[in-house]
Amino acid sequence: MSCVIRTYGLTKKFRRTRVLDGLYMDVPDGSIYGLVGANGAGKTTTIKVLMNIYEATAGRSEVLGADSRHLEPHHFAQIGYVSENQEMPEWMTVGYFLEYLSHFYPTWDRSLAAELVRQFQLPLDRKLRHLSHGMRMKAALASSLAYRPKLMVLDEPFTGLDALVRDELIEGFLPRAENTTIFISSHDLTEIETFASHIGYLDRGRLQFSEELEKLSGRFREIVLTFAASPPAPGTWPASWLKEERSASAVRFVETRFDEQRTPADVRRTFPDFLDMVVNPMPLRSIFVTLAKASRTEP
Amino acid sequence: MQEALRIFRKDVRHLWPRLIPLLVVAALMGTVECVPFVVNPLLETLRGLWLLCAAFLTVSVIQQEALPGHRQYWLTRPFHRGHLFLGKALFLAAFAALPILIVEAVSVLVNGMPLWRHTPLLLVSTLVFTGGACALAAALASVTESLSHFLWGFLSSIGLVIVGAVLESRSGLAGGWGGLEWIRNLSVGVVVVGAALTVLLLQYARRKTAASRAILGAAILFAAAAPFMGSWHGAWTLETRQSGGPIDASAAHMAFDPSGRNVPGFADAARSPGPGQAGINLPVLLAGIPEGHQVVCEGISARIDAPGAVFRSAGWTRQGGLYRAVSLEDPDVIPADGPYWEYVNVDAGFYEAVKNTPVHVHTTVALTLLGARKSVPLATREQNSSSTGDGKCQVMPGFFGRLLVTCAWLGRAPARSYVTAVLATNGQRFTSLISAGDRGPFPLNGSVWWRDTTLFGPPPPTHEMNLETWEAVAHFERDLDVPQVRLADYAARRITDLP
Repeated sequence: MSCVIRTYGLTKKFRRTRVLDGLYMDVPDGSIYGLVGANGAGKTTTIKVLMNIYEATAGRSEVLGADSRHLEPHHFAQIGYVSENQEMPEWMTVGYFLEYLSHFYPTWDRSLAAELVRQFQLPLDRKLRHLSHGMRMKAALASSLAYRPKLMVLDEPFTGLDALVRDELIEGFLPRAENTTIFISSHDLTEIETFASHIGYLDRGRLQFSEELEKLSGRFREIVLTFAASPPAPGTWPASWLKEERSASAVRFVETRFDEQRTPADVRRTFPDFLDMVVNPMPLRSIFVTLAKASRTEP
Repeated sequence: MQEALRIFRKDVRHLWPRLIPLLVVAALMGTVECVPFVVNPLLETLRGLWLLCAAFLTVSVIQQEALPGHRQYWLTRPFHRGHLFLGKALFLAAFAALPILIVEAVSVLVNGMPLWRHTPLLLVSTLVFTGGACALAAALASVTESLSHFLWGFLSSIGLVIVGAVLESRSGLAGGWGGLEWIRNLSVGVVVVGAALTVLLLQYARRKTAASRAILGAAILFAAAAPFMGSWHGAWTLETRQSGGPIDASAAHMAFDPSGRNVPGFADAARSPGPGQAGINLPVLLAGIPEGHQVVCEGISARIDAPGAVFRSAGWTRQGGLYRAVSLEDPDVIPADGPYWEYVNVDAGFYEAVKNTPVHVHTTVALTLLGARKSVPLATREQNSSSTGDGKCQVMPGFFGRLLVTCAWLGRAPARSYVTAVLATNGQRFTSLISAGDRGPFPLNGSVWWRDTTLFGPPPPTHEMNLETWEAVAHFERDLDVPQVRLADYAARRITDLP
């Protein structure tokens, strides 16, 4: 598997605070990789180290095969970076911004740029400072797609956007990113779930898992057991079962390694007296909340 | 280069309104600079204004692509940092340095001086002034994220330098290097501008903001502490090597003169002791001054050995040296062989303790031999200017019926210049020192002109006026050893000692 992004024990400390703690991560070529995690998990820091904006305290990372500490202009000519809190040259009009940038990219496609402007309904004569947040994001995205980058890095691109603009953004960049690897960090798990092919879950600077979304969705299940009387306390609780909740006659938990043969057998071994078992698939948001809550209860 | 030009064009497109004040001030400076006889305050005000405008423009252009921070769009765009720096340097060269170069070149041409001969002077003077100012502002701009952040750093730096200057004036060291001040200024400038260039290199190559801030902070502290650093004698040695020829050991030698001359009174003496000090006026005889030359004392170092106590002057000082009493012209200049005075400042406590005891005095004075005297007549009719080689002078009516004589020189000014007036009626000669020149090769304030002014008058009805200039032809030192002397016999008088 060839990877566009690789990190090797990436560590970043701000004074005494360790934000990234030995991060190992691989982003496969051609994937749409969603990096998710709670606030302060280290998503933006990871991206800024990858983009050589921050210097790692330890470890290293590679982007497009190059050490991220030595990214050169010709590497950035193949990378599109869009961040929700990026400072733009506010005095420029959208048109001048695109025109100015076009000279720095050998692969800039003027017709594609014009098409993006039309699709995003960008006002070419308006200054960036006079654009709404959504329009700014669209302008940033258009300026990052017009040269057909090999890698798009999107840092919380949907934060602060209404649903309509979110949809427009996603519809705008997905069809144009066929040969592009997309690395996206977001809180918006509902959106991520609609298009990501891979998911990495970052918690306190460490990658808890990183896998294909399909496999991830396949191995997380919400299981509800019904009992005739009060559910018994099990002798051993499997480590892969999280978020146990009890009611007068039911137990609900999340199985993080669901297997159609093994899981029912494990359930029966743990709760021999249950009457009924319901297995529900989980949306990414529920998986994320389960993991986040579980990690908070850990020391 | 294409990329640098694109960045340059982008900056011009955005910053053109901020160019206007700078260019207007440069044009005003040019208008004033073309009149070499302009009074200094106006030109200095314009120069200060230009520096502020240039600093504002520099911070504006550098912070278009701010280096500290982590949100700037350009950090993840394919900008080559070297080209970015080149684009900024081009911008400052075009709109800060070039106008000053043009202004100075026009002032040279308008005043009838050959441009080709002064081209190196124009280039070096412009480069040192605008390059130094812009490099400093650019370095500070490169480690700050916004104009307010820059202003904070700028005002703190200015504050530190002012504190240094205040402490210098309180310590009595102000102007302590005399004609060698330019060596100290240039040395400090080289260190500070060198640090600024290092910061720019570090920031544009590696974006090492913390290290760059530390370097710049150290450079500013160095500049603030500069008045208390360095060796005057080191600068003197450098000056001795780079200008002036060798001088025979027997020339301009001096000896103690125990003939019992009256010590000059307060009114006659050119020097008097400051608070906490006592002054000693030693009578000396100077001999062997070459014909057509005169000598000026630049500094003195003294050691006094008394039974049980030793006094040493704090290294070399300009608060003392050779002088002639009762001179309305220039008391520091020794025009010919003869009796003069050597003034030494000593600690008042030491003096009180040993004043009646025979002590051993050893002094060394640093002397400049002035020669190559030239005298050119000055046009005395109003508004007429006179050419004096690489300089020009103008005699104008001043306040209260006086004459205001202003001279301006291109590049290096003469070591000493006087305006002399000889009365047509009785041949009586009046002399006024106009320039005891800083011997730097060019002014460090961006102008190619040295300007000096003196007031003369009120003028007699008929007279002729001349400008007399002297060049430094040699620098040397002479010792004076007095094995036994009673200091009380030669004590300088203060105004409070007068009956």
